[in-house]
Amino acid sequence: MFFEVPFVLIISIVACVIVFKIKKIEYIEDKVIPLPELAEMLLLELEKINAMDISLRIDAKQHWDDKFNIYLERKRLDTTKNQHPNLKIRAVK
Amino acid sequence: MIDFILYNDLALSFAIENVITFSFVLTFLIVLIRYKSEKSLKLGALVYASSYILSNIAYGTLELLPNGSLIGPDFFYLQWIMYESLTIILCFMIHLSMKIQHHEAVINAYRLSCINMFSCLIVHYLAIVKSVPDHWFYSVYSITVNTTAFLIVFLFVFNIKRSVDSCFLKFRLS
Repeated sequence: MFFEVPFVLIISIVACVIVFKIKKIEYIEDKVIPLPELAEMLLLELEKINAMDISLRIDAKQHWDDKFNIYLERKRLDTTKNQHPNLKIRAVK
Repeated sequence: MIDFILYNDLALSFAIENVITFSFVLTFLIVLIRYKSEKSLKLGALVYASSYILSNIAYGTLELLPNGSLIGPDFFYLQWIMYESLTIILCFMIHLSMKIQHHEAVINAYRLSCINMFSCLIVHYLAIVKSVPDHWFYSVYSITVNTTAFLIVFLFVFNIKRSVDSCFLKFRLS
């Protein structure tokens, strides 16, 4: 009785919070930067990196490259998703 | 006038319990066959079916134990609250980890589970804390827990995508 009631109350409060806030939680999960906006951000960042000192530039450029690769991957997936189904089959073949 | 006295008819309540568990298993199979593209619905049906089976097994196991050996008799209604909460938390965590968006039917099933939890909590207060021998809410409780279970089955089987929020919004606008 000493630990049962608090334990059940805590997990039921957690469950209630999930149920009442589920839409908000999912909205935050879904919120991703659109591709054109991301491309602009990356370009601005690259301009800043090019203006940097050579010693700082190497690390920053590596970090930027990683972000750019993620952008390219997202763009590739986006292009494949918007393609006609027949084109997709041909591309796989 | 119909008098609902399910709460003191143990044989009938166990029969209903088994029918509900069986219908949840059947629901999962129907969802698996009919709605192949609905990942969230399949996941929700699987979690709810396993939850009902496991909670029945756990309840049976706890019933066999002598009083006070593992948990107290006060835990009788609290354990149902625990099973419902764990079902919601587990289903939510799986959705989150697999990055699947919740189906409207699953969200409504969560809400119905919440109603179940609240009615269990009220009955725990009345029957265990206050020790009231007879109360009108006991009948309401026995109807609520069974109706919500059948409503969850209905939501899953017929792939109900209608949101409760939109229904309220329409009602308010009209």
